[in-house]
Amino acid sequence: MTELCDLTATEARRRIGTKEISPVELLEACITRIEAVNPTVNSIVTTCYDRARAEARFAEKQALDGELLGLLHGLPFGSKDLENTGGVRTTMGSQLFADNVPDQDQGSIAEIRDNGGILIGKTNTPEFGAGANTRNLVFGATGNPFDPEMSCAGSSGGSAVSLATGMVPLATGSDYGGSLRTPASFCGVVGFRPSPGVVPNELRSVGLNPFSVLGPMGRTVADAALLLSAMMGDDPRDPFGSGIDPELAEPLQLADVTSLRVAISEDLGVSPLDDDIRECFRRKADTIRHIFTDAQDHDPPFDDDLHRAFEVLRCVNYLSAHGEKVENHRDLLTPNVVANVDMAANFTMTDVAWAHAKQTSLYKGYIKMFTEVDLLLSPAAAVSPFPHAQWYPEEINGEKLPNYMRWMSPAYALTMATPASCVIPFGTDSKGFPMGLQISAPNGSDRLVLAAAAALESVLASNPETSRPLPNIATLKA
Amino acid sequence: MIEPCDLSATRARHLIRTGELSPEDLLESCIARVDAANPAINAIVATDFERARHEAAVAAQAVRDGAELGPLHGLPVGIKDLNATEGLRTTWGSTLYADHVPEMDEPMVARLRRAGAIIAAKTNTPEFGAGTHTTNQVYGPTHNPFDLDRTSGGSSGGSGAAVATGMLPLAHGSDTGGSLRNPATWCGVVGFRPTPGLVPRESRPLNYSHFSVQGPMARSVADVALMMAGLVADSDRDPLTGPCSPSAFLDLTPANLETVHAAWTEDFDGVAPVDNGIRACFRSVIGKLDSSFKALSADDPDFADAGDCFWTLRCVNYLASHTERYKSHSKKLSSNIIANVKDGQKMSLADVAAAEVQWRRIYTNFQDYFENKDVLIVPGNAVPAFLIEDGIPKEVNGQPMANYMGASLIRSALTLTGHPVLALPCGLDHLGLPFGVQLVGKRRGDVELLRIAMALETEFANIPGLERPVPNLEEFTT
Repeated sequence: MTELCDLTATEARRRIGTKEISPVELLEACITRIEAVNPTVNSIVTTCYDRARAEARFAEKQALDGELLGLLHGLPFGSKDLENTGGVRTTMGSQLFADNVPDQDQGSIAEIRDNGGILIGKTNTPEFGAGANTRNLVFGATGNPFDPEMSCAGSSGGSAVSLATGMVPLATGSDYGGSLRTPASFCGVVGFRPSPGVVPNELRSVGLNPFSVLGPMGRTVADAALLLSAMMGDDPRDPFGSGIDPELAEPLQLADVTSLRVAISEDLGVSPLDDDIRECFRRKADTIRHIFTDAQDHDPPFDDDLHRAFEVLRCVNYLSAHGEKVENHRDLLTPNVVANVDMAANFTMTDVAWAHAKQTSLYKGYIKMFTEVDLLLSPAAAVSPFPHAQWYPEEINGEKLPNYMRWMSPAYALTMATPASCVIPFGTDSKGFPMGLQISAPNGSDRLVLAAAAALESVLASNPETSRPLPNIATLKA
Repeated sequence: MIEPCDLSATRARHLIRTGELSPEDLLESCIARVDAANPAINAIVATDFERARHEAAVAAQAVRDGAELGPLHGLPVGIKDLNATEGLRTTWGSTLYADHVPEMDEPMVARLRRAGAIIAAKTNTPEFGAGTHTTNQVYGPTHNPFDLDRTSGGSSGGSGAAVATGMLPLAHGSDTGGSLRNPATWCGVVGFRPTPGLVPRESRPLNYSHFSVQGPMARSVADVALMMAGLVADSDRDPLTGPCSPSAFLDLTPANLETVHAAWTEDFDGVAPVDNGIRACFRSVIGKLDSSFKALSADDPDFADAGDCFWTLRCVNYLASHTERYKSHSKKLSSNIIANVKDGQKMSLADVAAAEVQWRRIYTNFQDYFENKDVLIVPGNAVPAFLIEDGIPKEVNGQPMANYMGASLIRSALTLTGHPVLALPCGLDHLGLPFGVQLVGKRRGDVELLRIAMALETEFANIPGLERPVPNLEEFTT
């Protein structure tokens, strides 16, 4: 029998509305699951059970009293530990913030709770989200649910693992270079990177680029879309906030994929890609080509300068956000953060200007591609999960990689085009680890991407080669 | 009797719809005014009257046919010479493009045409829009209609002077550090800097820079609002745009000022240099508004570091746009461009990061500052229109300025806020030259700001000495 904590968020919310289940039971099922598997995978790093229980009891009463219930009424959720949660420890994965308890929720969390979501705990992240291996000096590493010695990716790794193992029905994340997408791929769940501005982030450190975005994760596309509709908002303190798109607030409908034209790209023309992953992706892509009105192999018009533009602009963000910390506390910080801030010293304002102009032309080239196709399909990650003891994969197919970011380029190359992008489960690789399919379209196509992802999800579910892999919960129980 | 070219755009548009004024008569009246006034003013630098006449005839026929008419149907419009117009010479004020005739309209211009506008002329600008003095090596200076020895302001100086003298009812401009607001103030017309993202600019060199925006200039607030209906759009190719409603700008009614919370600041608590004579004018205006609003109080926003922050981020834009050109053609570029590029080349990525941190602080503080306000009133300029022979405002109250944008901080600091700003004329300054105020509205509250400005415009019209100044055409028309 399915335990309550394994229900999709959408189904759980439906049953709360019909009073078939109580928010209290659902919360307890989640807590039980956390207590059982978290000691093995270490994805939830701080809990707030007492407050959550009080909120669940209140939510139960509201349901029984027939009150108007919010979008997420009574649904427990996990919040990535980079997000300020009022009264609940928020460490950013950093020893510098090991005991930090914010006074108040940041806007996106407040929106979720206003819509009835119940915060159950914080999910692990690399320090300040740097890199795609969820490991830090405060809480250690989060294990992949398919082999706890391996990386769950990151930086929203704690959220992905908590979802994959049924600890929470919904979780938040954020994405600069793939942090919602890469862990979704490694753990077999859904991560959606919205267009900049859809979920305002009043705490963003720089204003000249919107590469860092907040977004939802779930076990299904419908769940991620549900969470997104609760996170959306309008906050003038985010210069990229563009107001609420009324279309996105409507219930999600499946797209008619048979009418869509897709481009399939294995490496976006610029990403290193493990040969084995390439082979698996190709085989799986071949199983779905026929369902579209047109499917062609077609890379976006990216070139190798993309990497430098990404690195230069990321240095601006890192220096703005973490320069002082590195100057004063170098010894307490993780190597990725230090490396990224140090790298900034290599660049001039001319490099920054060049990188912005390059990003502009990448964006335009990408948009232009979509006059001929509706969606771009590509792998979400370049490698199979690697041991988390390693900070990052240092080589692919025997070629050494220049820095901690390069292996994330199947995701970050797209960040440079600021798309709407959704990663959904795409079966397993040859080692039995989950793979993700990345579905992307231009900035502002959030609705299309979610609707297409939901439709493809059901297509993929019907084939064992591409269906969502489930971890073996029994073996994860301590 | 009033000539058609002196009608307000809204009035002319109304008479066109009722059949009382034909687009052809309106155009001929404007052409006659250009012929009479432009030799002395030099605001209009390229024309396509043949095509305009043809379009006016087509527009007249559409009225007779009872066709559906766009919001700008039959209205002659000038386009700043920084924006590509099909078949109409577009030089960017640069000798490098002295003979450049674009094959296509840029999308902003095409949208104006679709709204019914007749693109009749190009208006003068400093080379690549750099600075507050409209002059260049292709066309020479644009003269102030109130004193031919003085500048029209800039960089949308051609548009300001053309509208002030009745050569055109509407003109387009753009604004990074005040280029819609400064010439509006110095020419006694209205200039509107919208919230970034409302008017798309597909050719902006830096995708994600909020500083450069496109906007309207006209002789009344209702007219700039009308033109907004032809400019506002959601464009895939400009990532700052989002869901919007162009028709929301039509048929605006004035706000009831008795419900409006207003604040004023003379110089941002000493941050912006402001000439003592201008201060006295501004205080006198504020004194006369004592009982106009629900509340009116002195309240300075925190713009510490705004000057450094703006200049540094401006340098990033200039490097992105002009680095290559500077390498190959430095001898042909204006001293303003060279100053901006050279300063930028001395700066590092760390300088950009520091400016980003400053910007985030200024931006966020301003959102908090504005929370309970509807409008902030600021002087329109720091100094009276300067003499053409002076070239740039070199000093304010005896204090030398660090660079050609130094005396512009009263406007450029507001650019950093992301809020809409409208320049509204009100009377003359101590030298008898046009004076005006800037009205800052809520972010994305553009319609609301226009409504407040409409009410204030009426208020000024009824206060002796604060009426919109009108140049004496007889002094210079032939």
